[in-house]
Amino acid sequence: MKFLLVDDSRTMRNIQKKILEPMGGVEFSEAGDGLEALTAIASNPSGFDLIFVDWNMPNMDGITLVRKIRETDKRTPLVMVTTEAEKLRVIDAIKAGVNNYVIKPFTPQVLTEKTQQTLAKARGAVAAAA
Amino acid sequence: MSTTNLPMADAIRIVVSEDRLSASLSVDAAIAPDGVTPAMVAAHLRAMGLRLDKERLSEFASSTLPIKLSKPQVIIQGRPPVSDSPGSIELLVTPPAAEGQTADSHYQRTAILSAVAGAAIARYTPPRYGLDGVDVFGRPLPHQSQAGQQAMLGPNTRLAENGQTVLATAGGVIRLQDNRLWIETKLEIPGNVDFSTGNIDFAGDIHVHGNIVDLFKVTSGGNIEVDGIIEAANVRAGQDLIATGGIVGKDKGGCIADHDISGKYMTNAHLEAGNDVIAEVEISNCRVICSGQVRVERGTVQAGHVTAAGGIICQTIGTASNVPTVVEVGIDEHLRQYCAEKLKQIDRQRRQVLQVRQTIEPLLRNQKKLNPQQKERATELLYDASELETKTNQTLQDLKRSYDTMKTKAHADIRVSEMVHGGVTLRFQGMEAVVQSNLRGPLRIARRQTCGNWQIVAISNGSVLPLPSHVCADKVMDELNRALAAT
Repeated sequence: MKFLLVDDSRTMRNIQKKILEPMGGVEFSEAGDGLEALTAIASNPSGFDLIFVDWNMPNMDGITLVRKIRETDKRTPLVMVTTEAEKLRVIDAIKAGVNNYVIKPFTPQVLTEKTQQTLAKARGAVAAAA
Repeated sequence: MSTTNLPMADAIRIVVSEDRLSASLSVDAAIAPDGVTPAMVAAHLRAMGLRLDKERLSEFASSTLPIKLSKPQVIIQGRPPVSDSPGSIELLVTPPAAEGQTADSHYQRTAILSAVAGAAIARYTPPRYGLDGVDVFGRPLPHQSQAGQQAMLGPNTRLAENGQTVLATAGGVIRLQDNRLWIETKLEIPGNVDFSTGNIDFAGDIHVHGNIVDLFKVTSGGNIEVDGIIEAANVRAGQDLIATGGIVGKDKGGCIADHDISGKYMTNAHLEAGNDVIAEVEISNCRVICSGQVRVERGTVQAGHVTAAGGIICQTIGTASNVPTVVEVGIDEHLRQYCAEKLKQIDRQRRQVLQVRQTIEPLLRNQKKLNPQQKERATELLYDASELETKTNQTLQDLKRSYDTMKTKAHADIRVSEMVHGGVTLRFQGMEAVVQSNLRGPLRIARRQTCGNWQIVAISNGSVLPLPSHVCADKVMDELNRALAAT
């Protein structure tokens, strides 16, 4: 599986990587902002199985990135991992096209569970489409 | 006679060097102001018997340019002879004693040069065969042979890929003699280990023909064999330790071996063996910890404290004068000590985790008051706490597995051929008995379960004598169980 971690904090990306590594068989790519993420997506023709997106980032924030991705890609699961906890923000993110939402601070269990949920739903959707 | 009347050939001056390795040409401008032809030079050279290679010769012969050389110029070069060379070996290591030492480190002064396997120990220049030279007349110039042994690499050495560096292929003493280099994997000390040798730290086997005297340290990656006595020294063997003359620790010395410790007798010493401790005569007033057996088949275990995971075999335990003697079997003291240390570490880690959680929890209850940086920091702390908890639990499970393995040695027993004196304390896993009165051998002392109760018993000639036993708390085991219950 290929995951893309998009967060301007390297520490946060490392934490997410360490929490998700025990899932096994995961290859991680990283980006520090929305623009880097778009470059990573463009240079990975086979696509990512899951993209984790922070909201507040320089150059291009997370919500803009999500909208950009959804212009051409409706399938790749997106998980917003952010400090933005307000209900309206969550609604905005879902409207923009995220599949799941993790609020910081989160425990390792929460991130793992939400990741597995998102992947399971995505596989179910693919199976249904087939 | 005026120079202008001299033949042109007289203008050609060719001088051969004393070593016959060069011939120089000059042209006397007074006789030949317009120079001389190459052909004339070539003819002159031939007349003198000088060699000129055919190519140069044909150049001279065909060229018509006049040669004007007011100053001598070398036109023929011989080839000098190359002498034989025996080669050389230059050590890259020096003994610690050669590096400036303070007066406090007399124990550290050692002249022994040792290396571990894989270390670069020398630079090697191979022997070279000589070659005769050739003079300007084409005659051979014999080469000379240099005296000396050829440089050779002996056992346990090899050349590195660069062809110059010599590597040790085994740990041992570096020997360079008569231009020959080798590694001796065994270090022989002809006398004592004392101020003449200094402390010794050697990768291979050590054989001390004398004693190891007080306060010196001897460490070996292999076996240590001492013909004399080990006094109040600190000795560490990576394999077996053999003290033929005995060990007299004087309550200061200690001997540790990863495998067996054996000797004539052992007194007032701290002994730790990864396998067995074997004495011919006695083990007296020692602290012994071994993972195997303690065997003094024709002698005594008296005074001190002996812990032998694999059991004890001896002639007598204790003394008639009731000097306290404690013997324990089926207990792995090394594991116990390791466990105790790890439990302290686990306790520290758990308190750390608790502290982190106690700090974060109030913040998490009021997340709205946190700014984004604080929320990110909280995530980091939560992750760190979770990681530490996982590691702690893993360590606990490893300890539990080790302890469970130790329980398989619960069947270890004590075999005595003559006597167990009154006053001796016998300990097995979780149980203890103090011998009230002398027990005559041959007998076997073991832990046995009768009617659901564990007891320490003495078995002799088929009859079983229960000894007054009581439960002996294993504090480390209890702490481990408490720690496991908390996971």
